[in-house]
Amino acid sequence: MKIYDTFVGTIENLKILISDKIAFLSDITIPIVFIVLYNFSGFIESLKSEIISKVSYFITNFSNVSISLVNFFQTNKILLSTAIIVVLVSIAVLTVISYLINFFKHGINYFKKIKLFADDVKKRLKVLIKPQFYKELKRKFEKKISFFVVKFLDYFWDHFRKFEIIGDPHKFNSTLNKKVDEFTKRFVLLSKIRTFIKRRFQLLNETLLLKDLTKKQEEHTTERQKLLFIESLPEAFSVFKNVSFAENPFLPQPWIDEIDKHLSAKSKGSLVISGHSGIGKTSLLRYIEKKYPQTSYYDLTDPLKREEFISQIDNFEVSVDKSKIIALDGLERLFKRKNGGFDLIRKTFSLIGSRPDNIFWVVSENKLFYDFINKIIPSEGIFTSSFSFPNFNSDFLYKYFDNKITSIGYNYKVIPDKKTIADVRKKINRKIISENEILNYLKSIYFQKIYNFGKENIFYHNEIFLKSIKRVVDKTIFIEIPPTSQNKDIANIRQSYVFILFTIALHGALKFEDISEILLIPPKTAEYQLLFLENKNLIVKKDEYYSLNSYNYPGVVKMFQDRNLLSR
Amino acid sequence: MKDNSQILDYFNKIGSNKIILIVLVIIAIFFLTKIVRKFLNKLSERYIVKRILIKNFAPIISLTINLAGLFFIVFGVLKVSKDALLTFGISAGVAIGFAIQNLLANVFGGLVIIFTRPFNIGDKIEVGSYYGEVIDINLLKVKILNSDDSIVNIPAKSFIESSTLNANGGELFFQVTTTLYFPNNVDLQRIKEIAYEAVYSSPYSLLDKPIYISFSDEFREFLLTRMIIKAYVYDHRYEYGFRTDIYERIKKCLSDNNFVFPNFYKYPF
Repeated sequence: MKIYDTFVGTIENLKILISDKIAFLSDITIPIVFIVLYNFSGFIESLKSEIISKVSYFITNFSNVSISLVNFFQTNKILLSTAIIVVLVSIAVLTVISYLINFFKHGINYFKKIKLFADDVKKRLKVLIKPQFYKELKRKFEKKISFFVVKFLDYFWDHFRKFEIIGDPHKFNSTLNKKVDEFTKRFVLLSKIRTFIKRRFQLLNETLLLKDLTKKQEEHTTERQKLLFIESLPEAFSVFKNVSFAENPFLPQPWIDEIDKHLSAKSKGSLVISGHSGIGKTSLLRYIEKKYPQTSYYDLTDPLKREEFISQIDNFEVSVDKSKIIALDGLERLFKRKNGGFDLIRKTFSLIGSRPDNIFWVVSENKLFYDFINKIIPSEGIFTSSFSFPNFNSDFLYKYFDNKITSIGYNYKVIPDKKTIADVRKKINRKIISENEILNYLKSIYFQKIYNFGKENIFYHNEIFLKSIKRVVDKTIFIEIPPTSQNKDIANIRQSYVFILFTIALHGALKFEDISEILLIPPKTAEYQLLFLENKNLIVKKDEYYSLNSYNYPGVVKMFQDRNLLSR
Repeated sequence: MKDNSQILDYFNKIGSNKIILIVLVIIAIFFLTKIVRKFLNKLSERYIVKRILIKNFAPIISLTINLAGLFFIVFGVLKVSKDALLTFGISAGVAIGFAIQNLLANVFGGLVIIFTRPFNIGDKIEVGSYYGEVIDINLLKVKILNSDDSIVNIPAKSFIESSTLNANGGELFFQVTTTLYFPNNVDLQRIKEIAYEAVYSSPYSLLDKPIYISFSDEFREFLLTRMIIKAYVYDHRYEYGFRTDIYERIKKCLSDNNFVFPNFYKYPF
């Protein structure tokens, strides 16, 4: 307690001492201030008088000026208003100038903005200009209504069939049209629907095969069209069905003769048959299988058969009996264009090249693969003879179809379009062709045209021929020059897609994993790119295998030549 | 003095309508040249086989259009007489010539390139330290696109002063050299087989042309085997793609086949 008391006491003492000092200081401050003020009072006085005089002078002057200004404004009103306008205008001009200065200072940004805006507008306009936009629009529209229309068509078809208005679809254009015309004239809406259906029907029947549609659409429409059209053809037209496959009775005689010459003369050796897709390689091999019973036929396009052949390849001589013909269809399927992918081909070639006794090898190869492998392993050293479908041109097609049509007891005539009629007239006037030759001349024009599109693809030509039929009257088929058009997407396709197409063409058919491995692209990328090509109708997918769409095959081959991937 | 006054008189006589016409002609020439070049470019990219041939027309056509435009302005619009042209040439030609000496040197360089054709549009050339594909030739400069995808403008006169290497000589195909290094004890036969198959497998390779593979020893801290693959690519644009593709294929094949090299970095050389 003592310590506490002492502490408190000390503090109190200190407080008193400090307060005393402060009191003293406050006491002396006021006299000091007075002394100072007293000493400076003269100066302050003079300062005060100076300020007062200045302020009074300013106020007097200001009031004078104000009064004179008011007087002036009252007397000169026009001048005043002009002055105000001038001031305002000058302010406006100054603002504009400052804006302009700003604009030029930061002009680049403005231009960028304008450019961006202009680019955007341009892009939108460009899309509008492109036919692709309208094509897409049309396609979307078609996609939406096609289901309805096809259903409606079905109904129409069945309905009129009931009333026997449609007996033969070829009469559609004449009999049905007249009856439907009479009926629909009464109702505007019905007539509109009818026009639409008619257009759609024509589209289905004539041009859809070559249109840029998605796969599903194409499958739907082409299959439907085939069913409607091909099935309604007379029985005789069955010769046009399944043409490039087994038991084709329309193999040209010169081809058969040449094949027979090779096979009958020798008991051992090898023959390579090379040609583009759809030309008839399989048909020839099937012919060999049929004519020569000792033939073992290996369809290498079939995975199971391929595996069977691969399993036998190492001890083939043992497993094969004497005096045999071994036919290998689609040799390209044994190969993959990657490191290690040439092994099976090398083995097969060494097997064929060793020329075992009493074995005759007949091998069919895709033309692209044949040309490719020939650069690496020349076929002269392996095969004793070769066959590559000679003289395949428009004249050949002419003869081929002539033979086919006459064999079913029919005759055919080409209906010329306006342009052809004008052309024919000119030629008659100039005496280039006589009037008796007109029919044959039209036929040659027709086959020249379809040859230009389909080249060496007989499968394609048969399909086109069926689509060209307009009507059949008294065993005379009237055909029209078909509205064939090349897929425009092919020419402008990106190089990465070209590599995929070329790889598929070279191998015949490939799985997407194989494409990814061969081209060293990630599997996902390969999948997307294949989807794109499939949507563009350039490739088709069947049992996980992608192959070129035979309808676009000639165009694709031309594109390979244009891009220097293939020599012409 | 008389001549000068004549020229001045002449210039004074040029009316505003003539000036507008000249401006219009210049704009027309500009756009026409652009359109022609764009068209040729599009055409050449469509028919790649004829790319270089089609692109060759571009400089000559644009030069012709420009000259035709110049003649039209001088003799058609301004209607300059031969005497006036001669007088102008004598009095002002020397002065202007001195002033735009460099420009003129480039113009003559451009003319020499267009008419003597040491290279064409589409060729791969090397000038000084620059290497790339020629994308444009005009009177003043040559534009080349290098491997970084950047455009290099080279003054036309420098092609007269320095030597130029034309890598493909007007052809689309092009020989590409790829170099790879292996440990010195590598199985050369096997590696050669792999290299050949890699070239055969590459989508870029042109198999009509021969493939050369050579080996040599090289000492780079360790004794290494250097393999040089010389193969042709069907379009010189794919030079880098082809080289990478070959390299990738060989490496992938080696790793797929468990091609183990001894750890030669630890070899006690």
